Amino acid sequence: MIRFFFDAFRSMFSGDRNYWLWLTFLGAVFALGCLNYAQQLQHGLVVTGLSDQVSWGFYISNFAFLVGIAAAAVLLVIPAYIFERKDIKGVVLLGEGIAVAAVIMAMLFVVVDLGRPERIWHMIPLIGRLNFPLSLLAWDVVVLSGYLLLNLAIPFYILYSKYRGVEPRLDLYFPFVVLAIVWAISIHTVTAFLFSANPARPYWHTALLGPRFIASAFVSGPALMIVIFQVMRKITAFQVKQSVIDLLALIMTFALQINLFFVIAELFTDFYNEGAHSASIRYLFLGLHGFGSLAPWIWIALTFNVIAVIILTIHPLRRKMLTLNIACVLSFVGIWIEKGMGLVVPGFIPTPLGEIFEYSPTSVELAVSLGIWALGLLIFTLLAKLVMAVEQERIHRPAS
Amino acid sequence: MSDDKVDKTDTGTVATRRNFLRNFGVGAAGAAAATIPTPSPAWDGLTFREAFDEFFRKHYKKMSPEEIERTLTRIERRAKRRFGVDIDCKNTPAQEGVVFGYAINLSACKGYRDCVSACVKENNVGRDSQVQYIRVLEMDRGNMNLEESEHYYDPETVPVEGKYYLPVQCMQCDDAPCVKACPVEATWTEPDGIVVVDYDWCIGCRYCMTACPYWARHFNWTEPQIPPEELNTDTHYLGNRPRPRGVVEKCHFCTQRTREGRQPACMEACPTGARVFGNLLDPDSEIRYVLENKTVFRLKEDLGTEPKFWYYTD
Amino acid sequence: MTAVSALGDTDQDVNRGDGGELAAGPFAVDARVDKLFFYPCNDCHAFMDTNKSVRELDVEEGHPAQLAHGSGLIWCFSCHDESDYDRLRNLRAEPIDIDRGYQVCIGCHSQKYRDWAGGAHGKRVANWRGERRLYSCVECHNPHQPPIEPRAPQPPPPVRAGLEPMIPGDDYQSHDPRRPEWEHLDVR
Repeated sequence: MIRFFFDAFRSMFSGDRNYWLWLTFLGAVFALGCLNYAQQLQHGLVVTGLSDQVSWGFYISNFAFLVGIAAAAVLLVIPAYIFERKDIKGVVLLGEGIAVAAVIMAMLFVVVDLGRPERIWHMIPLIGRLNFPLSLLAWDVVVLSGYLLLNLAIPFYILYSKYRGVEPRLDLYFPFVVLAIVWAISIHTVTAFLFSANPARPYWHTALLGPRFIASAFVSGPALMIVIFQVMRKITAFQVKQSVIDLLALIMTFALQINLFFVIAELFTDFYNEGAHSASIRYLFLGLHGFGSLAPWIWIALTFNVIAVIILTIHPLRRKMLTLNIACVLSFVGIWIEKGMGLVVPGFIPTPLGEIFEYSPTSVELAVSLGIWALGLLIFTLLAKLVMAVEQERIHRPAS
Repeated sequence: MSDDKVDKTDTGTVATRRNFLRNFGVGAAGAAAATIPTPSPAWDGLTFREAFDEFFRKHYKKMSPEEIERTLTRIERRAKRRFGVDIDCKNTPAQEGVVFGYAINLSACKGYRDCVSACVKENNVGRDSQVQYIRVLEMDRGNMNLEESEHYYDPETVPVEGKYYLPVQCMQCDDAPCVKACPVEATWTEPDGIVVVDYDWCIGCRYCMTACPYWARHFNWTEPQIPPEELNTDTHYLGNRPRPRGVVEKCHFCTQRTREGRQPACMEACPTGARVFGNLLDPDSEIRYVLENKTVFRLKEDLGTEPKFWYYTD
Repeated sequence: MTAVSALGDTDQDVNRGDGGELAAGPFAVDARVDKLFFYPCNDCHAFMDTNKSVRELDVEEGHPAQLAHGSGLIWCFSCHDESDYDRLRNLRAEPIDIDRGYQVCIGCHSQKYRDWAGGAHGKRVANWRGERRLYSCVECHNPHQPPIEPRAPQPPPPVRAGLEPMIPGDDYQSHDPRRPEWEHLDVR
């Protein structure tokens, strides 16, 4: 097994010039992120644009979005293992690689948001004190860690079996696959509950938040996967059947339609009889008491999503790769805005005491966030390289 | 408000307040770093054993009396290092048969904000971090809509005609959402009803701040700046001991005072006697008189947090 | 440190009398005599005639000439004892110690007294348990001009270090909760 790791390492770090350029670029962005994080460690979170009024911002926005991406890996797992679709089975390991990268990114976004990151061990049960099951954040830590383990263990077993030329035993890993499917839904539901559990924040305190999270995750996840698979199809020898992309596009269509329906439901409920509880959504879409820095963003997001859903709903446009890709990019950005800053920040405006205090991320926050995204892309690149190497038997040590 | 105040840090670096503010504007870079107070040196003035003990400490509720003693000593030594001042850090327990309650007479509150500044001084709150445990809202008479309150009122004199004043601070809820939210149990309700924070256990995730319906919890975005000559040396571990940055803090009904029978600083400072404080379990207390004889209400009653902070009028 | 008047029988009587069962326990009231400038009054008034006709006084600074209390229904000798200027008097013309001056206020402000004795009005000093010490009415309310004058507030709350205060956009209209058609009525 040790040799597997050596071979894996070797496969990850061998490639042509373009590959190394890509890795270097990602490494440089990550290094810039680290430098900025060092500044944050030096001076404290005062280097961010956060305040007592808006105490969660860009970091947690990205966290919420990335948990959705991680959960969307289940969209490949279900067809591959439950419905035994061979074409999906060919890419399911890549999907799990996306999940691993996304979960690691999400966890990192929480870590960089902490005021005392060296005390993170306080969350470990027994040596620390984890407030489980009362605290939703404790739940989130548990489910995200479990999901990471599942998405490392199952692919590892399959890859290692292939590497050894042995057929992976379905009866061994199938129960874990089922567990992973349920777990994927749970990570995003728990993250939604993290927000919706707060009656102090009427904007989040809706039963619809859980369903909205799942629906938007099933848009942004496939959007990312469609783009990544096309890239891989183009620049590597990896085979991705068109049927895979078709399935993902179809799922995305339904999910985006449902998501937009949820948006309409929220808008109606809050604006038809407008009370104090509607203040946040009014701030977001229309501005409130002279403040409205987020309004342009949410309208852009809504426009992107509407254009995307139109493209996706019209069959011929969905089948054409150019328009499909446009829809993917638009909806990815639209959901990132809507579920990121468009979800987290308005929850704090106005404050529970009615104050309006706006937030915008500082360059430190942006640099750290870019660094984490770069690291995630780096992790995925390396994992994808490994998966391809094993699938194409470029690293192979058959059991004798 | 924007006068140039000179902040002298324990390392002797002098930084004007305007510099300090400019440094953390958008896009601050290394050039600013020279004027920022540098972080404390290794082990922050403690011995290695003390620093090791502090990092690998247990949760407050699991510590033995000796471990608590050592923790108090560490805090006193660190304060000496940072401020050059000898402080006394106690761990006075909750008294038997006491559950604290607080009430404010809205007819008597004139919006002076004497309570706010007394609290900041008494509780060693950082002067530049924006933290103030009490926020007084100026409301229109006849209006309970907090969204229409004015937080930053600054008229020539108070009270202003047609307004009333609503001071808000931690309500010490019996069913506190912040206590449920904390992932590491760094905040809990003590037997005398005070919701306390263990600043050495808090990881700074700020989930409790999102959970609080009264905006009562505040965060140390930066190292709390306290002029050494204004440091209150009479401190309590779960109360006003000097805090590190990156942790949450809030009103704790002045544990260093109230657990020894003294009034909280806000009550003592109020010139109109608008504040009533006492033991809810004592039928002869003033707080019970208020609850039984005056028209009282609590903020956001419908959220079910069961605050122990009431408002009443004459 | 002000002298605290002893918990005499008088306090207990007052405390346990009508409304006494509503009080929050026995209390002591901080003394007043050492805070008065023109005291003892008899130093001057022993050598002056007593003029009991209701009129405006012509006196020097510091000694009240007007009485902005009671809307003209009371005047000096409603509360001051004309036979002994060092004492006050209640509605039954009984002499009252200056240190127990609150017993004069009771005559008209009985509800306020009950609230004060109970703890809902006025200021308790020093502690929240143990010996109960209250401020007398006149610590805050000048009996010759009781309403409390407005004063400047302490500064507004600061904004987090490094952030600027929020200033609304140019088109911001201050929200007036009253409907425009009610504006001509003074509904507040």
